[in-house]
Amino acid sequence: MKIKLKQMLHSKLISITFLFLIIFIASLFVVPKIIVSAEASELFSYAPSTASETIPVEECLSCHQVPEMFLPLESGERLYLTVDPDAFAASIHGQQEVVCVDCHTEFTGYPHPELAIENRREVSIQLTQVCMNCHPEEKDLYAKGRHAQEFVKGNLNTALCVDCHTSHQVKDIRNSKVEIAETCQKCHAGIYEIYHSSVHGVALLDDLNFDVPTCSDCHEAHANTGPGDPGFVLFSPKICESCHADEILMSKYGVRADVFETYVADFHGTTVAIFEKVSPDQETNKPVCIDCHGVHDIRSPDDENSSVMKENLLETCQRCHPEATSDFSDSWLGHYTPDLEHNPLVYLVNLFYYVIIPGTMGGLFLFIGTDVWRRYKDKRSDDSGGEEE
Amino acid sequence: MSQQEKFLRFPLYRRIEHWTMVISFVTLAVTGLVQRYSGNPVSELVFTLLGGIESVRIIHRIASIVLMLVTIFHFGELFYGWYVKRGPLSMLPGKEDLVAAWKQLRYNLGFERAAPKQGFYTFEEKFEYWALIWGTIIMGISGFFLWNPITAAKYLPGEWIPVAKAAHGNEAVLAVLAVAFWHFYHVFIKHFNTSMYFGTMTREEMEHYHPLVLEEEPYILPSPKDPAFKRRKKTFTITYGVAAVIMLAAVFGFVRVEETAVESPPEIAEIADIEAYSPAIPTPSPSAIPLLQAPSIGTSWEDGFGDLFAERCGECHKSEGGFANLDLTNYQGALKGGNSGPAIHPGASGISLIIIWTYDGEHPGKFGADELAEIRQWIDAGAPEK
Repeated sequence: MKIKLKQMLHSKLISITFLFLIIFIASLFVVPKIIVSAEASELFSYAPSTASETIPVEECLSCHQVPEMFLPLESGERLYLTVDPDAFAASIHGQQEVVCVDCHTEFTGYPHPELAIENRREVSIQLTQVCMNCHPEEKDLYAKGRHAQEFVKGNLNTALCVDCHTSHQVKDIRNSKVEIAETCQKCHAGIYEIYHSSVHGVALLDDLNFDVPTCSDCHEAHANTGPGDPGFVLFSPKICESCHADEILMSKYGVRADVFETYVADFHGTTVAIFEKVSPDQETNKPVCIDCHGVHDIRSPDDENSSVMKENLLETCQRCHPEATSDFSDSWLGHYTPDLEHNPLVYLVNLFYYVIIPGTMGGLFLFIGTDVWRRYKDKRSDDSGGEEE
Repeated sequence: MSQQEKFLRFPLYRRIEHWTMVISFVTLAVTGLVQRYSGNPVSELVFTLLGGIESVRIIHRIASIVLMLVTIFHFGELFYGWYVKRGPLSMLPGKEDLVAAWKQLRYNLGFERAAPKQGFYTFEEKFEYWALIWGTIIMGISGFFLWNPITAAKYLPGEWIPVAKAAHGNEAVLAVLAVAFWHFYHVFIKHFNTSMYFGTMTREEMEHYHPLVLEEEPYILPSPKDPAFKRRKKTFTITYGVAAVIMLAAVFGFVRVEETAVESPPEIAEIADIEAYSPAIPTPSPSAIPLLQAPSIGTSWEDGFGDLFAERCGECHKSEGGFANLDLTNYQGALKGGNSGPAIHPGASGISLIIIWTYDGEHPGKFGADELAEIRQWIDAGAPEK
């Protein structure tokens, strides 16, 4: 009995220890992720009380539609309190009959409570939590994104909900690639200008062609990523692949759809693909699409300013291969699968081995096969011969 | 049978040479093939085990240096055996090998009564050896192109680098297949040949596989005291010494001739030049742009002002029980006013309470500056109802 108890205790001890071990190991993988989002949400810690009463929008707007109604702040800024009734009514919140006090929960009576803020930015930061209360999915995505990371670092200029969505004119812009680009332009005007000069930017912003990517197609809308994020650069060819391997889409523009395939078949692409699979967090000095084609300023290879145009290619190579001379850039197959027209020598070498390998091995197997057969026959005749004797 | 006569086949240095090459070859094959078939899950596993593609490439290159050194050693050994020891060049292929191969095939198929009699090296072994020589030349040259593409492109068209890559990968497959089937079949399966482990073969083995050796005049090693031998040895030492230095320098050059790519390339020019955060000027406000310019209200109570007051003021100052007994929802109510007096004095905006109350102070409802100016104009013009 005593022994049994001891055994039981022992096995329990072991299982508890194991459990803790498993939890500990699991926590190694889970905890860092939680910390990131926890930090981001902690910083947006303004917790508004939920509105105890509903006040119709019209009641608030009877005052707040007055033009140029503003509150002078300590910072010297003006906090505009005017809300355009028509614009609000047209906004997604107005359409869904969200009322002012749903967000501005404390402002249910007059006179209003004091605003404990010094500058306009503080209002946006405080009210970010309000958005997140009703939009938890976007909150989680946002917490993973680059803007939230910047906020955690203390950069108050980073984009908050209202910076992109506006406060009182929130619209569904998912289907408007132009508006998305123009939204990002508010803070990334420099990049927007460069993008506008690219083959994608011209197509979208000048020709209203929605086949091309806008900012969020590559960088994500809420969980936005960029070159500073681990794995982003390694992953980036797959972003390009998502359109450039689409044969139907590419055939519309006479662009070949095998560019990703041929990239991976080449030394650079092979390396990047291996890195992406085996060690996605490590950096590699091998180029991805953007290293040669440009980032926001991607141009058609026929464009004379294109970094991958034949005349400019050597210079592009020299960024990583400073010693390279004129013939070096010809070592790049130009996204072509070798054939008699493009890179015929490579094609012929492959063809040579295509014949030689099976030919040689066939010859060798002929000797091996017949040898095995001979031995089998000899052994059988030996055996039967032995029996006869 | 226990004390069988032993025939020396591979002296110790030959065995060391062989096994060094085995290590190098296997390493090259593994680290090379995983690169050729990089998408394969087995390759992925190898990459993970060996610490990633970059370390796999370093291991591949180290193994290739070992193979280069073995090759240099082999040159010296051949030269010594032929020139100093005056030994037979038993590895040279000849017509008899073709005959032997043909006979072997016929024998295997039952057209020949006996297998061909072969010498110190059989045609199978010679094939293996010359395939290795061919392979090493191809791999060496193409390997140089891949290791030093910039140098190669200085002397040859750039296309030769992908050509070298194609040849390198294909030749590797051929070499590995040849070793895996041809070599392994002959040394492991057909007959477990231990001479590469212990160096010797028994008489029985010799009779079976290399019978011609037993029939030939045995080769006699020159006496070490022979002055001609001594002289040749001296010549060898000097000649091979110089050649070895040159070849080692070539290996060094092979390894160090160029820095193909920089370890960490400079940032992409566009990214380096641009400030990610570059707000548009003027910086847009997150809030909707405030209504800086209100549309013109109108000309009379019925044409605009009535609606304006009803909308802005009517929430509190309504018809029934309006705040401060003021009703601003109709013209008469506005003229009559509330507790403090008339809200509108036609012709006198200065004493109209609607202006006074909203101009400044605590009154919650306010008008914009433009609106206020328009209201004053209207009142001063007699506050027309129509």
